[in-house]
Amino acid sequence: MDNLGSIALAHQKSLKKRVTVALLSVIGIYSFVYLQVDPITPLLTLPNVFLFFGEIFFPPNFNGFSSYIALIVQTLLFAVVGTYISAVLSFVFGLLMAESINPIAPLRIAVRFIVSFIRNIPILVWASLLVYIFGIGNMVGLIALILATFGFLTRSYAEEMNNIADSKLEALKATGATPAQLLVHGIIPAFFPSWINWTFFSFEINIRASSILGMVGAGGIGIMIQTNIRLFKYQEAMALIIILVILVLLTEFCVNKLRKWIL
Amino acid sequence: MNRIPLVKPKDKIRNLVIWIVAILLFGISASLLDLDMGTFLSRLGQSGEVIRHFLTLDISDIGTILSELELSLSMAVASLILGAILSFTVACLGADNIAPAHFLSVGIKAVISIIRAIPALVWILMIVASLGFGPLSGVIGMMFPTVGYLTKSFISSIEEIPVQVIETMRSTGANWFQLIQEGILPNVSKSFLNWLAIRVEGNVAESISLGMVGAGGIGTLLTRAIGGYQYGKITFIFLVIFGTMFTIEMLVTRVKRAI
Repeated sequence: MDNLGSIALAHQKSLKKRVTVALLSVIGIYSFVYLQVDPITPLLTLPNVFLFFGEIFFPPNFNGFSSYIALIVQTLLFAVVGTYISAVLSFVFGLLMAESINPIAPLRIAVRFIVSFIRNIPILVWASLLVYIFGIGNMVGLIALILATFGFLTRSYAEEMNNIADSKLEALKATGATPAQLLVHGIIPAFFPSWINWTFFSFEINIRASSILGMVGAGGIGIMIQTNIRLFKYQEAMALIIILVILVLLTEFCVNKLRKWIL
Repeated sequence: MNRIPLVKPKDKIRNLVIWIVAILLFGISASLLDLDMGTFLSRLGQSGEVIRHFLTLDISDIGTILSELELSLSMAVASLILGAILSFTVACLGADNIAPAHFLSVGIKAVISIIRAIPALVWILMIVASLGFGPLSGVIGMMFPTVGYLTKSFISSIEEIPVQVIETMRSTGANWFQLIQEGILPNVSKSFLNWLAIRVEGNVAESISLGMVGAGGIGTLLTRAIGGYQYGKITFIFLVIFGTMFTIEMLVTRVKRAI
């Protein structure tokens, strides 16, 4: 009897799976039909794209290199400042959002909602709204950068805090530690390695994002890439894109070295 | 009473140094950036006025908005499907433990890390410059970041497969295609689905942003509404975007549970 029940359950599960797969396929097919693009065309167009791409974007023109240096520095500075502020803000909000740390349920739910709202709006949408409200300026760019990493950092921090919280904090509480002592001696030391990991990761994201931010007029490399493409100066744009690639790869490399050195 | 210090004095000094360096780095970077606090603060004072304008809702254009949303979503799905197929092929050639040749694996990884270093929006700008506007360039433009992300993740999943599995398969005389079909796919299908699920949200967010650089979709409508000071419309599109992203996040979780 028991055996029969589990067979029926497995059957149900596989039926659910089949229906889901069928629905997903319908969505997939529908998108191609709606776009009036057949799935083969984009793949066949790729060689052509590369050909065309090579023709208009190459060779890169590095003539303006001296004026790009300021842009590179600016991109780096934006990423540093943005990472710092979002790391601190996310730490506070992470504490407020972690179930095992913040006992006040309504506050927790409110914070969770705010964070999910911020995270679910694409960064460029935030940036253009901010530009609309506050005008163009690097302060707006900075806020958009903070918003870009704030959502995912807070969520990751809160999850990590929940993971460490239970066993360790119980033991500390039993010794009669005050909330402040709990934070300093219980949460922060255990949380430190993952905090470093996530924060460094967000720095990498910020380097990429600060180059995008230029596109809403906040500064950095992005604004020049966009301007050059708009002005059909593709070879200058390519030079900047190459610089951006090197910058991102170098950051990744250095961050990995630094991470190994600290942890 | 003698208190036992919780932190060793030597560590205390080291921690202090790290804190000072960290704070200095922040201070110097912030001052070099030359943030326009003054203008910002004065704008902040007036922002209440602007935000009050936003508290209206104009849903008269709901038809256009929804059909542009459909366009954005279709581009996201189409580029995800094509990107996934391409990534799977490239990942099988690029994972070091099953790659036909070592240099192929090194080459593919280098190309993928370059593709990943270029932000999605720059890819879209470049493809639009080469192909012109339209859904086709949207789909192709978004395929690049998708392939960059998925290939890297797929490769790392494939490389986690224990050597024994592959050795055993090889010793039975399986050819490369059999190896992938019987040895690799069953082992990685679950983690592949997870990567795809993460990418769904990313692709939708990107396809919405796409419009903001003029490639069509709901982003274009938002830019147009902002340019025309149509507050009610801006609010409505903003809410539609939030609703879409939120629904997709929920759907992805449910689908993952069902499969």
